[in-house]
Amino acid sequence: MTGVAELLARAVSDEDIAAACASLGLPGLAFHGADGEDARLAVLRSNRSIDVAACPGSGKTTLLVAKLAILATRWTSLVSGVCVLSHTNVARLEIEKRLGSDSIGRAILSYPHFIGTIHGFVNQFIALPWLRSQGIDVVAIDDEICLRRRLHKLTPSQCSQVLRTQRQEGLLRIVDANHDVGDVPWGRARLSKDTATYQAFVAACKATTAEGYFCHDDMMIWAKQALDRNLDLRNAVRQRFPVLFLDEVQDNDDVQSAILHRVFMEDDRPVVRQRFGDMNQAIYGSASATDVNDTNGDIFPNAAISISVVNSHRFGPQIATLADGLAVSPPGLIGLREHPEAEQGRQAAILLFDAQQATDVLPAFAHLLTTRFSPAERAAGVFAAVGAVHRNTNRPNTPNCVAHYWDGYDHEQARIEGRPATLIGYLRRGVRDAAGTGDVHPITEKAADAVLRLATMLNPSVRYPNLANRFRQLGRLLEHDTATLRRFHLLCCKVATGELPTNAKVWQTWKKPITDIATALLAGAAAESEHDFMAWEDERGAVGALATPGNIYSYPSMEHAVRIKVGSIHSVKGETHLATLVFDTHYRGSHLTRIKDWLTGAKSGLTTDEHELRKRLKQHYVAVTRPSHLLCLAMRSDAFTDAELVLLRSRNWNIGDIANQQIVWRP
Amino acid sequence: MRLAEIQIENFRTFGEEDAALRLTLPAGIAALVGENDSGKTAIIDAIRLVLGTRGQDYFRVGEADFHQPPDGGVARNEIRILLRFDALSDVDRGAFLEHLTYLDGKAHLFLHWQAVAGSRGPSRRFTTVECRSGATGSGPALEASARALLCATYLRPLRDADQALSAGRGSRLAQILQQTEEIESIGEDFDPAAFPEDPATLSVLGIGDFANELLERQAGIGNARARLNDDYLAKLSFEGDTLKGAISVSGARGDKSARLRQLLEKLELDLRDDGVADPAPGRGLGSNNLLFMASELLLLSQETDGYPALLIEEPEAHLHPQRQHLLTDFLKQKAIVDRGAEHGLQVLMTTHSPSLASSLKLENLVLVRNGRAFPMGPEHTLLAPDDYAFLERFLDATKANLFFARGVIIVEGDAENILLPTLARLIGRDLARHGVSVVNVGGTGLGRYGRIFQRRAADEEGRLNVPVACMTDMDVMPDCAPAILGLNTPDGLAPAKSSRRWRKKSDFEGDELESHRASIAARADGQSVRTFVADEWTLEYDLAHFGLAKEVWVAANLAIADERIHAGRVTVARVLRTSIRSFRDLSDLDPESRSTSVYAKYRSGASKAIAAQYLAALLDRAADRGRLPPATLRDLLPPYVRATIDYATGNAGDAPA
Repeated sequence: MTGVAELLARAVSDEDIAAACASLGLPGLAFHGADGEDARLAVLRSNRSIDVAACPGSGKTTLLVAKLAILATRWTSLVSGVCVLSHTNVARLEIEKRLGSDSIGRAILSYPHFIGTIHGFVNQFIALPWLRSQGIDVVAIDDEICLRRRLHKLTPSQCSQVLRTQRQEGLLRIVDANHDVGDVPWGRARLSKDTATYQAFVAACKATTAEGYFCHDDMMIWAKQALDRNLDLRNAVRQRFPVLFLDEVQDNDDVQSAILHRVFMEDDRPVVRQRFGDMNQAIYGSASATDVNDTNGDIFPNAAISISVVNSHRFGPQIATLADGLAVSPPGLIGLREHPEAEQGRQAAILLFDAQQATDVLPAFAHLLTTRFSPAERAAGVFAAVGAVHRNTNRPNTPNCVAHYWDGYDHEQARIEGRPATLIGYLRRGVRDAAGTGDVHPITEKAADAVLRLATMLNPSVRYPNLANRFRQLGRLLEHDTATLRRFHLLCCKVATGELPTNAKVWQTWKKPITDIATALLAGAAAESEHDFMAWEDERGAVGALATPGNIYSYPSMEHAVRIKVGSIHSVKGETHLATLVFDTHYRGSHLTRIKDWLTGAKSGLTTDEHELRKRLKQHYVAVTRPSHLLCLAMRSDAFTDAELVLLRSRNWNIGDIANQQIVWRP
Repeated sequence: MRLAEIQIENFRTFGEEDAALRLTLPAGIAALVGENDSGKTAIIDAIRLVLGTRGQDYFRVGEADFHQPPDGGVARNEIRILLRFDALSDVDRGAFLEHLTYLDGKAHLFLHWQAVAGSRGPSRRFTTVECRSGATGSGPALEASARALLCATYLRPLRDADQALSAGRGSRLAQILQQTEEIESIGEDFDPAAFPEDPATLSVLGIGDFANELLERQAGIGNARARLNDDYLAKLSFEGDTLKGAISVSGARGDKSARLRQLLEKLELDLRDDGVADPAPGRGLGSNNLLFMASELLLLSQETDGYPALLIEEPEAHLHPQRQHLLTDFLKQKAIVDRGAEHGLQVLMTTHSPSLASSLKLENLVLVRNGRAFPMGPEHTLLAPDDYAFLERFLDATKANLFFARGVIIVEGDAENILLPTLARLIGRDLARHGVSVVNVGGTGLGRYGRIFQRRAADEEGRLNVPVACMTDMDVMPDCAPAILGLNTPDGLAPAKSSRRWRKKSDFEGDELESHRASIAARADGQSVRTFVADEWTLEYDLAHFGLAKEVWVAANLAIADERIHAGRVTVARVLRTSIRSFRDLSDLDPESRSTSVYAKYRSGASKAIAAQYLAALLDRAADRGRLPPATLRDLLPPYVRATIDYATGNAGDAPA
């Protein structure tokens, strides 16, 4: 059998690349570029540790998937695998989708390989085996359930005191393996660690650990302990995963970076690590503060091994040049998209408006879209309107947030898709996940998950083991209560056949039967209030290709000729739009005004350590690199002097004024 | 990686809780020894269920595998098997990373396998099987491909080696060869575009493909095809829609591994002696068996990943004792020496062969009895380190019988060894029928052999309930004996106690004699081991003393005359007559003097072993003629002989009072 080191060392041939392209359904020269010397080729051919600085629209995921496809065909080891880590499970689904149905490529999705989130990795391979070794049966890793359970262990008066603090039950998060909860602000002072109250907090946390309930970040603490106490664990991880791919490195926080560095890289015999990321887009995590993503000197990108991919298939040269100017470290972006002659020079614009015209910007932009894109293009593409600050914080100097540009904006709905807050939300999620496939499985899973969650809320002291298959788990719990089980099946059946209530009144009639199922699960244990979990919640809209809930602006309002997704810059990270509108918003001053020297080209890059400015540039760099065809910035007309407007014009910004909810272009 | 511990519940003979099987395994080789139906095969099968096996010996849980309590209760419906592995290598720790359990700073792998019998009505039965990791089984389920790493090689009892090694579809040899690296790595593949200059440079598959190509191109086949097409098909075709046939080699277009398999299935393996060209017609079962094991071991040695385990049932099948020795030596080499602890081959075998058992170290044996397993390692028995060294030297095939017995009598001489089976049979306690072995350890080591059966943690792990009766002499002569035997000094007195090695009764005062007896008995006593000390002096003396004086006397005379009898110079009948007559001369003596006089014969020339043979024959004849009913003989036997036989044949830990 070929050793892993040997198969990694074998050069990647042109045939390997061609075969990977074929199995992924890409053109044979997808990675060659015009001159056959594209940086992507170097990335594909590299078998060593590299840092890939990948510009927006560089096709990073495609590149990663192609690398995986090449590795998969040569992989023979039964005991070692490839580890691919990212921040979201969406990334895993995306990779899974792209690998298609090719059985060799798909082998990389299962044992001995791992593709998933950093948290998932740390849990599965380090923290969970360690906790199980302590005799702890891990029931749930869930901040909400865990914190509620900790709260539940306090006396009623301690409990209400905790809930009166600003962090509420968030106070009960542990900071180390002794279950210390760190500094606790208490009234006007800090709660001393020797007090009975503080010790009660510690005891509550200890108790939940023993019972198997954890917050997500706890797992990093236990993983660290596992590594401290088992010196060869690190080598075992490296033995199992001699190759590591890290995606979106710029978003790693310090804790994650530290543990990954320790596990895979520290001291001798580091693994082959290939990191993909773009520090110019680092808008999450602590990295935005210092910009180095520095753990033990392990900076991304490490210049000695870095490969930059600076050409983007997403946009053309006009957007590329303007965006490059906003980058903290301008990579020299090259836009490869070719526009028809008539369209050239029309990809970027600054829309000026007067203070009282803020709500006219969105209709004017929408109107512009109807003139620039055909109905077919509008149906297929995504339009977005974003700002750095999205929620209204009632600060002066309007407009200073996305909400000021659109009355209909609801920041609550803009939450990144997490766990549904209500039971009806779970059922809808199930219906949506099942959509089009005809499979009932997503519905039964979500329904079972929801009912089990409801039962936990009714009585947090009732324990359920954490089985991956929630539907089967519920089936087992109700094994001897066939009547209740049948009621649950009936519920699934009704949801699956499209009978999910569409209004609060009908939902009212569903509440009791569902609560009865959950109560049956408690097996006689006392039930408490389930808070708002059973409450009715209006359905949120979903839009076109992006099937995520959110705020959708339709124009004209009744016709839906144009649908625009409205939200924060953070919410559109990683997306590609046909057209993007960036609102000027304020945080310690107007964002766009503060970076206008970079818009006009008067300044480029940033070498000083100005934290706020750095953050502004990165956020807006992310925003302006979304669109493929049209980028618009909305700013107050008093933001620029005439001289600056001349400069902007010379840099190929088109300038338009908002009037009567339309745009009047300046010459 | 090493399988260190096994727990089995509700599987076949093993029940649950106290009746469950718990076994810690020695490193390297573990030989499960014990009588039939003790549970050896159940242990091997339990391991097979969890690990899975290569080859075609796949088996699933059947209804009969669920434990049926002996008290007639309902059959259990949940089989639980726990395996714990330790000594994990770097590779093992990596491969099972998400499944590990850390105890005392070391990584272990626990596998909890369980099968639950379910039913929906009387006609539809099903069994759900699950295998999870973690000390309590709360870890994730083991992926199929992770489990495949643990897959064991299993060699069935009385396997049909001939069949496995001959050519044909699904032959085991083909499977083994296909896994052998050289088959694929040596030689070039056949390139249809280039005719190979030297076919000898081709790989196995290359040769096959080349031959297929040649076949398809062969002129005769071409002609036949042409005739088929021209003379027949053309005439049967419609105008403009000509039917054409093509002849191809079947399977020539299958994928690589299928083509290779078809080729390898044409091969068969037989044994030749060096230098003999033609195959020896019909090698015996034993040789083929060895050949089969050799090829399985070859396959096993190729695997660098995972857990190399070899499960062999009765490797002694068809092998004569010397070959059994050779085989165990070979396995020892493979298991321990060649690979080192972390990568070592682990061999688990069942055996009924004392030869095989005796060729292994004692600590590699696991005695299985009544659904319990008793490993023989130093941490499990009361044997001292020097006992292990001693037993390794002296525990031979004959003595290794004791591992298979239901009861054991350990004796110190040939006479006991010869006489006891006859005496036992004649008093209605046939040793063979009771499964009792008599083990003659000669003059030394009685206690050491006894301690084999004494457990270090008998209270927690249970006793080894094999009644072991050690029989030994008292070696204290009656006070009249020194004079009769001429041991006294010329002035008729006994020499000073310190200057002689023998003892007489009057050397002991008060209860000293009894405490002397107790101290002899204490050398091997405890748990199911009991020592029975001669009531008076030695076996012959005691036999004479308690009722068989005449028979012992006659037997001694026969033994002295033995050579002359065989030379035809004297007849048995004549010796009988004269010795019976001479025995009458002793009738005036007091009992002790008479017994001493009888015993004196043995000190002056009568071989104890030969005399024992004659005595056994005499008693047999008397019994045959109805002159010695069991009850009568029983009363005539020394009490310690009776007690020895009763205890060993009692089949329980407790001796009859």
